[in-house]
Amino acid sequence: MEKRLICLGVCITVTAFILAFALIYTGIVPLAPTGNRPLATIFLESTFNAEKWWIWAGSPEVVTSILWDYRGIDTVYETTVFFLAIIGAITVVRTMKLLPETSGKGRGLTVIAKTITKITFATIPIIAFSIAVHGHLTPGGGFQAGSAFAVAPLLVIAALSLRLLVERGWGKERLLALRTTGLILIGIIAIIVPILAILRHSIAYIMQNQAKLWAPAGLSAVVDLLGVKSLLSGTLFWLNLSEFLAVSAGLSLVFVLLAAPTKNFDKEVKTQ
Amino acid sequence: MIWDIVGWIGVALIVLGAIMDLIASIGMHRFRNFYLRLHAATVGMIGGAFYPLIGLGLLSLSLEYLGITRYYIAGISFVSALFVLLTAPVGSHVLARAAHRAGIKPEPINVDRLQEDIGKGVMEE
Repeated sequence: MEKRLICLGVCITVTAFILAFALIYTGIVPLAPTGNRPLATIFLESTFNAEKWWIWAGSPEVVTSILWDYRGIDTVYETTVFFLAIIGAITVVRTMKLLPETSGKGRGLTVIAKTITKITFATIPIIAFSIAVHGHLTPGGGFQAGSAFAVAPLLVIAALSLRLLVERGWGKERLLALRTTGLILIGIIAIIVPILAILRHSIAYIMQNQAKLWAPAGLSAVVDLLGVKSLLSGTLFWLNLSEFLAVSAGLSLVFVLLAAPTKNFDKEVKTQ
Repeated sequence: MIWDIVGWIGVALIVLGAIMDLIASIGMHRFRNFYLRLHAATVGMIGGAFYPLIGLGLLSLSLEYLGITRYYIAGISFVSALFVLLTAPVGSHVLARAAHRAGIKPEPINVDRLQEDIGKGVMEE
């Protein structure tokens, strides 16, 4: 048995190598280029290039620029789809009432595990928030920050019990309200530049960040925050913050719902 | 001079971590039951993740040409090392407890305090 497995492994490796070599040698599969691709060059040269102010995004982070500026409406729809998925998940369990009395015994793991979980729990939101507010400067952003934040309730559910989380107010309604607030904030930020443009008798597009040649309106990239000149990249910073709120609440809600015991939920369905 | 020594200590810790990881992976494959494999995994977590992270922090502090970046690297390394040090023992503790609750008995065994506590009623099953 062992010999057969080793033989199989060697055969697969040799076949893969021969196949890869043949494909590259015959030119069917090109080798990866050493330089930047043309599209990448365009983005790298334009996202933080104030000389090309009509196509710049005001942010040195190319991914965030593309996500929230160049294809901003696409990301808004993406967030909406995620919101609808969570709405769907809530619709499935709409009869379930998430009360402290019905969410498990609340015993949790041992004291050792609980103590360390409390220490880690305090640090996770800080890291998540820093990812969110750095989203327009370094890799990261709202969605990643929200995903990082959602680890905190997950840890609490695993080590300290769902009951504690529900007792502390991480209920279904409140998390959904926070999620909706995040989405509404994204909607407001999407139309804030057009509204400002209308007030100045100008025009602007929905989800516009920086000024364009034919739509000269936009939030300024550098903002004076209490005497310190800060690069907020126009709307990108606020979009990242809203997305952080939306995703962290949404993912926390999903984890809470997944961890909820099915006992009373089943009873409710039977009585219907 | 002093930073050279710090750098070499860092390199030594990284090499030690690599050796620990190798030992841990051999142990994970060769040990015969869950608790012994868990022991090997813990060697990999502390020896193979904590020591190299400390070593990386010390090494980056000693590399002057990195400029101010070296403090970022060192800070992130030390904080990560602290959290690995905090969470790795808890992970193995919880895993061992879960296995004990699932009824897997430690096989080469001298004393089983958890079983004694459950028998006395100090610790709930």
